[in-house]
Amino acid sequence: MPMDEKTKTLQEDFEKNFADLELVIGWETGFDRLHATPVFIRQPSELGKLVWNPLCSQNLSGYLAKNLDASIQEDGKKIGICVKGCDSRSLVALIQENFIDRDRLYIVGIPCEGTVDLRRLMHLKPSLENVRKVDIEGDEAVVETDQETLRFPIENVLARKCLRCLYPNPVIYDTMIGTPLKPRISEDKLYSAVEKFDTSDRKQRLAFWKTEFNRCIRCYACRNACPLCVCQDNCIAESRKPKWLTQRDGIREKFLFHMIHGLHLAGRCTECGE
Amino acid sequence: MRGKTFIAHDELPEVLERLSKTMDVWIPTAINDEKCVIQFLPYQPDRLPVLDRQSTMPPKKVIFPQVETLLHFSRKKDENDPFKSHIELEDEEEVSPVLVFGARPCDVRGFLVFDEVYLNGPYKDPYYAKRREKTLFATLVCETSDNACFCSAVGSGPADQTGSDLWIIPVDSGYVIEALTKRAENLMPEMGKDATEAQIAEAQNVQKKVAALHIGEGDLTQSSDDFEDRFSDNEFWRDMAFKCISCGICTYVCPTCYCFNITDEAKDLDGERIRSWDSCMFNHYTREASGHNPRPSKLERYRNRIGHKFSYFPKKYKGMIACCGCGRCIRRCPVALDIRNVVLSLKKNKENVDV
Amino acid sequence: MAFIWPAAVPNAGNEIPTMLIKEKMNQILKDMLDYEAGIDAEAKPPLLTFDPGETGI
Repeated sequence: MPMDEKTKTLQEDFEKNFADLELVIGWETGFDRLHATPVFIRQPSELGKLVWNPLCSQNLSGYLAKNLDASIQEDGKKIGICVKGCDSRSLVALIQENFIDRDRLYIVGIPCEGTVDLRRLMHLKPSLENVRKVDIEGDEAVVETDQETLRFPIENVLARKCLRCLYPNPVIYDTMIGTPLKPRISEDKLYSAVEKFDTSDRKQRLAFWKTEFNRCIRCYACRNACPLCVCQDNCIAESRKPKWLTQRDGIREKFLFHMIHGLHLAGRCTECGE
Repeated sequence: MRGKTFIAHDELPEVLERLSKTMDVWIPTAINDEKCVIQFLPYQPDRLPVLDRQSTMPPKKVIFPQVETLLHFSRKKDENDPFKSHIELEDEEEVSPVLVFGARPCDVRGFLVFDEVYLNGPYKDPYYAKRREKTLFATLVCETSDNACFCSAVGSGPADQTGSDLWIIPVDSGYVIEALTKRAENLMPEMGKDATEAQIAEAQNVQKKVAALHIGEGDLTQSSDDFEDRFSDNEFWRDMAFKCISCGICTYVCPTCYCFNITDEAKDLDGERIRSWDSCMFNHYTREASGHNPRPSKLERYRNRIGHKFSYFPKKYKGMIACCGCGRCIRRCPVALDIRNVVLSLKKNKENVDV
Repeated sequence: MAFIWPAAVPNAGNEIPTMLIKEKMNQILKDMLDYEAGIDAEAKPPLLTFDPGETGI
């Protein structure tokens, strides 16, 4: 199903069911057509804002656990939420851990062909102006601007997580928009990056992480965007009691923070890539 | 006063090399030549400046490092009475002169906000002052903007020379350089050859063309009263801040955000007092020792971010707003929260909030 | 010397590949416990030992 049609179906579905909903969480067009941004809709008249396209990268399930009391049912009304395949796995993890009550949700699942990593796109085409539309057609990402139509092989512009995605289809939903898709890779290729990484020796790996983590600015965007990082304001990365990390910006701190983040997600991370 | 000079593209590394013999020259540069993350780093022969786009991180850290040691302390035990000890303190060392080469007008404008707080108030911050005094800015007239840029909407513009010491204008075959301040003049002999008439004329055209550009819509400078009217409109702030995930990236990439935290990081008898960037988006930013937090949720925190930049700051500092329009907070925000939209919305539908 | 990304999984621009850490853990989890996170809402995650009612979370 083409992207515009999916957007329309999405809007119509919520319109049909809005009487039972107090809030709809989805995506809308951001400050330009190259950016999508989360939107929280409380009035049916605003449902026209909803969009679905390959720029809808944000995983919205985190808002349920962190910002909304999604466990208490008041007037029987539900929270409507849009999820991609990966997002739906986060929902499942949050439901398993009792952060969200399944009955409180109306889940609209969208089979996803992958999301575009804007950093990768902008790297290939730094001066991308007047974008009208971004879509995925088979193995190509198509960017329409006022002037031209550009085509990029998906392996150059899709988010890395999407190129190794085994679950393009939502694993939990009330309504599915469109038809299920085939994963882009086979299961035996899932950990090929890790396997390749394991072949390098310890010194190489340390050097790699030192270079990579050097860029970290400890802004905690990775932590706060993570739907499963539910401690948020009480993270031991910042607490002074207990004190695990100093406020310094050295490699030691950054390295330890990312290891803590990683280990706290052991058995929980659904690889949504946020 | 010496006239304008010209640096050809292939002579630029040579010039930077020469300059870096007498001072630290910071340039916007990309690690691994990928141009994905551009940050300001001291010039080295294997580091080339990236001047064709805005840097990911502003040059804020050149004068206001993300972490800086204020002093070292060590406890010395009394030889005669092991229960007694005294503390020895040690200050930081001198700083060397610095040239920031290739910043943009918005980057430099950030420091004008800093100056009000750190230099021109009743208290002068010695750590900031010593670096600020010794730093010169060679600023590039800005020919590249995107949909997140809005420097003209905050009273600046892509050809705004305020705060710069040297002015760089890209022309076809290189760069025309002009000294704007007295302290920059001694550097001019190092800045390439004298520019020809034709090069100067070409540069003037570029300057004129860029000065005519208006980047960003509307005027965000007169928003103080609107903010005050909105202050207690909780529904408005809930809608504005709901998508915010309370990370600190907007404040860390902001050339004007100047808040810091001070912590003592000690082990056994020795330690350091360090100052590090803080972010008003973090919950613990206003958490008090008692555990009480006057800004307990992101609603209050986000409202404060807007209020500080567009209302409290201009009230206190001659109408200057604490935003330089560089657009980094919009571009880098994981959820694409647009500060312009929030400020412009302050005015809209005051009776009936609808955003 | 530096680690090169496999061609099939190119380096995603400027992102710090923190996902690799999580991928490694999930690989171990799959090998040892045959478990994948976030698939079955009824399943009990094998490493779920903390109490969400714990104060401060």
